[in-house]
Parts: sequence; structure tokens; C-alpha cells
Amino acid sequence: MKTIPIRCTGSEMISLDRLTPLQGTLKTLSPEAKKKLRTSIEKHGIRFPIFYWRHNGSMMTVDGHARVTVLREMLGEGFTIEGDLVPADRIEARDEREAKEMILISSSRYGRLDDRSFFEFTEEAGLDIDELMREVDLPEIMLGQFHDQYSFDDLEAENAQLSGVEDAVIQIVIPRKFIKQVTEWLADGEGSTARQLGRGVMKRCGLL
Amino acid sequence: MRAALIYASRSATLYPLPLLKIGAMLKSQGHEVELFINRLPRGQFDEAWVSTCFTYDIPAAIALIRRLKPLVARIRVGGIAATLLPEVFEHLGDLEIHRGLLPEAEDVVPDYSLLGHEPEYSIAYTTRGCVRHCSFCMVPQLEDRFTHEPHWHQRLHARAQRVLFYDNNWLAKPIDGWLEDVAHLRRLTRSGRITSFDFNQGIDCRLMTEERAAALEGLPLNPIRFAFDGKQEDGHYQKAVRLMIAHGFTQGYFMTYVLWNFTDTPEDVYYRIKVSAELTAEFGFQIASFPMRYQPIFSIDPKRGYVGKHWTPLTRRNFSMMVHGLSTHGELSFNPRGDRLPTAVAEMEYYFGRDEQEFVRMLNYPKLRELFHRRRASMAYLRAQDRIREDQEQEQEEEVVNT
Repeated sequence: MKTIPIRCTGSEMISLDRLTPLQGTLKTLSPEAKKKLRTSIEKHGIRFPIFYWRHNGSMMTVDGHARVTVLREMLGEGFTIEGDLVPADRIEARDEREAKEMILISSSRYGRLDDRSFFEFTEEAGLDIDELMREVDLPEIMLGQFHDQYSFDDLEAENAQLSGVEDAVIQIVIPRKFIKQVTEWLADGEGSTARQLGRGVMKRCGLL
Repeated sequence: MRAALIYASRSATLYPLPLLKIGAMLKSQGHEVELFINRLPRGQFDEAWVSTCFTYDIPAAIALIRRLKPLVARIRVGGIAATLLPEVFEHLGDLEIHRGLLPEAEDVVPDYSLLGHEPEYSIAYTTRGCVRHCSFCMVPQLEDRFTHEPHWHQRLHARAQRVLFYDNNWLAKPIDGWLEDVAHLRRLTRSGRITSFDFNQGIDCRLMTEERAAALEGLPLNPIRFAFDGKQEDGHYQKAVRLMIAHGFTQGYFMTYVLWNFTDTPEDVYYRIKVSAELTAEFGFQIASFPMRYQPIFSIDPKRGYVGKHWTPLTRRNFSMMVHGLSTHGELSFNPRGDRLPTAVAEMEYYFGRDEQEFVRMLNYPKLRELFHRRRASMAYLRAQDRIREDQEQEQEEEVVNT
């Protein structure tokens, strides 16, 4: 039996059973999106609290409908939630009308992503786009576009075949006459990275 | 009066020639001067001359000037970045912004002693400006007229045996004046005063002729820098390389600027790099490409994040990664001798793809970084194995001879 870990803190912990959906048919959850969300939960656990509105003793979901749906399915398949409760935050609303307005506000995405900001962000963070494709749904970016336009099967196969090669230790035999010089280069801090040092030194030693 | 000369550029690597000239001029007027490279002056100064260079270094230059203001009463700002974008400095207030060249310092012999060490090279111009007006280039904005500097040879440092020429288009000079320059260079070389020279901004391959290549024969021009920035140079570039080789330029190396991320396509860049790889394979010595990523002239983006019309963030990132991964100090060269990859072209194709289509597909592969480094590591491993085997075979041969 697998346990879904809790990796965030809400103002309270509640049972999933107590949550009632409020959004009706506002949003749909495609099988593909559901699969991504499930992958994300399996990988990361519960990372964000559910937002709910309390009404006549009921807990009405404001933000987190899809997560609740997926979590319930997972519980049905034998998963358990760490401590059996999920983190939640209570949203204030005067009435149902305002609570539904909150649903739309919480669903809004005011900031915009674009290809450039997305790639700079992922590049800086060292995130793997293929990995993200399995768990993130960002319609603006169309993560699948690269896979749709080009076939990378051969590159994928080669990449898999060569995996582990970076970990190989390559011993370079430096001609004796260069040892003093190479030591000096190292002492001078030449080649701030192993890559530069390796290529630069190998070139000068006539090894490349 | 004491003047601080400040070179406000984090990215520039060459000597700040304008400040060396201004320093000499101020010294001749009886002032004291001191040079500071990309840092605040130490001590009391009456005025500061700040030289700027790259526009993407402007944020750093502004930060430096802000810290300088409380320290020095009078601040003059000039140089390339201040000429192109004076308004970004004007809003700092209380600065004297100077655009373009400083005529009173132009004919001054630079004072290299300000560097605080013996210079490794002299910097000179035989011309200013350029006859071409390429839209990617800032020279027309900075030096709008093509003029000649006939007395360049009188302004060289007495002991620096290397000369770096900053000419934008030396070959555009009328042939008589150009031949005079060549005669000066030959005289300086014969006398041992200089041992090598370099036209750092590149030589216009479209203007290379049999006559000019013959005139240069025997001179220590090294490296030989051409630009293959687009289709306009296709054919001219190959011809210019062949002419130079035919006139004996086989001892040094060729280095070719390759503009990208402008209006070019990835296919076009692939072609231009491949041409140099083919020439390397044909002649058996290094004809390197130096990819230069275009950044808009009037941009102060310190991240240099511009993405060209035919590039995407992914393809741009992947190509930059390939260039950095394979180049030494920005120069992309392929093994002229051949080894496990038998020719320079084979090596180029191994890393950049067999043809333009494969190159484009690779550039769009999100995990290219991983694959590329694995290919490199794999090739290094195979080469090391070859070398060990060769050494073992040689040892065995020696043993046979000894017995």
C-alpha cells in the first residue's frame, strides 16, 4: 500500500470526505490531464492546500476540485494519505454567489508564460522538459510541440545508449615535458571548469 | 589636477585604447592620471573619465558611475555604449556625456605605461569607419565616415612586438594607401620591431584579390580573420581563403566570424560552419569558425536574451550550448588531421548532424544538452582508447627493435 505524503502546511487539516464540489460543470478534467495530475501527486505528494468555503456546516471546494477527484480515485485503488487528512485553507465569502466568484478568481492566470520565459526558467532551474511533460499542463507553452513536429526516436535511443558515459573516468596521460606547464596552468586557475581545462590542456599537449 | 581614467566594462578583454590616449593627452598638459579597469578609483581625484564599451554592460557601468558620483566632482562619460545610448546615462544627472571620437585625443600616441605593465601588443587603426553599412553592425552609428589614418605606424609601442589593428575594413582603403600600409608592415617586420599583427575585426573577404593576397605574402598576419556573416560572402569567403593559402599563409590559422541569431536560419549557420570544416579537411590545417550571436545594437539587456527571427529560445539555447561545449575561447575548429572521425567534416557532422535537416531537428530536441555531452564524452573516451593502443603498439615495436 502506497502512502501519499503531505509536503505543505494548511491552516487546518481536513478529511477529503467532508469536501463538496462547488464548481459544477465549470471545468472538465480530460483523462490526459488527470493522468498528469496523478503523476505529479505520486511524484511530489500533496504540495498545496485545498481552498474551501464553509457553508451551513459543509465544506465547499473553491480551489482543488481536480486534486480531490484524483485523490479519491487513488484512495479507491488502495493508496492512503499520510495522516488521512489533507491541508486546507478556509476562504471567506458572504454567500454562494461570492464563493463562486472566488472560484473564477482562483482559476484566473493573470501572469503570462511564453516560450522564452519558460525555457529560460527551466534552463536556469535545470528542469527536464520531458519529465515536465508528464506532470505539468501549461497550454500556452504547448510542451508537446517539439514531439509533434519532429521525431526524436533515434536521438532518444542514442541518448539512452550513451547514458552513463559522463560518469566514466577518463585518465589522460600527459607527456612528461608538459607536466610542469600543466601544473602551472592549474595553479594559475586556468580553466574554471573541468570542461575548459580538459579541452584546453589536451589541445596544447597535442592530444586533440 | 588629478584625473581618474575608468574603463567601465566587465566584458571587454583588450586594452582601453581611448583612455590610454586621453591619459597621454592629459599628461602632456601637466595633469596626473591613473587608470582603473572596471573599478572605483582609490584616492582623491578632481575628475574622472569613464569609458564604456558594450551596451549590455550598461547596467554595470551605471552602477559604477552611481558609486563614483560622491567621490569625484566632475565626471565625463564616453565610449561606444555612451555614444549609442547617451540617454541612459543622461538621466543620472551631472555628467558630461561625450558621443563619438574625441578629436583632440585622436592623434595622440597612447600612453601604455598607464597599464602598469609592459603591454603585450600595440593597438592601431589605419582607417576609421567602414564603406559598408551592414544592418547588424554598430560601426556606421559610431564612425559614419570612412577615413584614413596614415600615421598609425608612428604610434606603436616601442617594445610591443605584436600589433592589433582595430580597422573595420582595411581592404576598403584605396590600393595606393593600402600598399603603403603593407610596406610599413614589411619594414617593421624586417627590422624585427614587430613579429606578428592581427586585424582583429576581420578582413573583408569580398575585397580580397590576387593582388592584395600577393602583397601580403610573407607577412606575419596571424590569425587571418574573415567574416562569413551570410549569403553575401558565400563564394567570396572560400575564394579569399584559397588566395591566402596560395600565397603561403599556411603556418598560422584562419578564424572566421559567423554571425547568427540575426536574420539567418539555423540551416544557413550550419552551411557556413560546414564550409570552414570542408576547407579544414581540404587543406589540413585549422580554419576555425567563431560564431557571434547577434544582439540588437540598442539593447541594454545584460542577459543578451534576444531571439532572432528564425530561432526559438530552445534552438538558440541548444546552439549556444553546442558552441560552448566544443569551442576553445569561442573558436569552433575541427581536427584537421582526422582520427576516429576521419576528417574535419566527419567531426563536424558527428556533433552538428549530417545535414541541415538533422541539425534543425537536433536543435529542437529538448534533451540535446544531455545527448551532446554524452557524445562528446563518448568520443573523448574512444580517442583515449586509440591513443593508449597506439602507445602500446609503439612500445611493442620498440621492444622488438631492442631484442
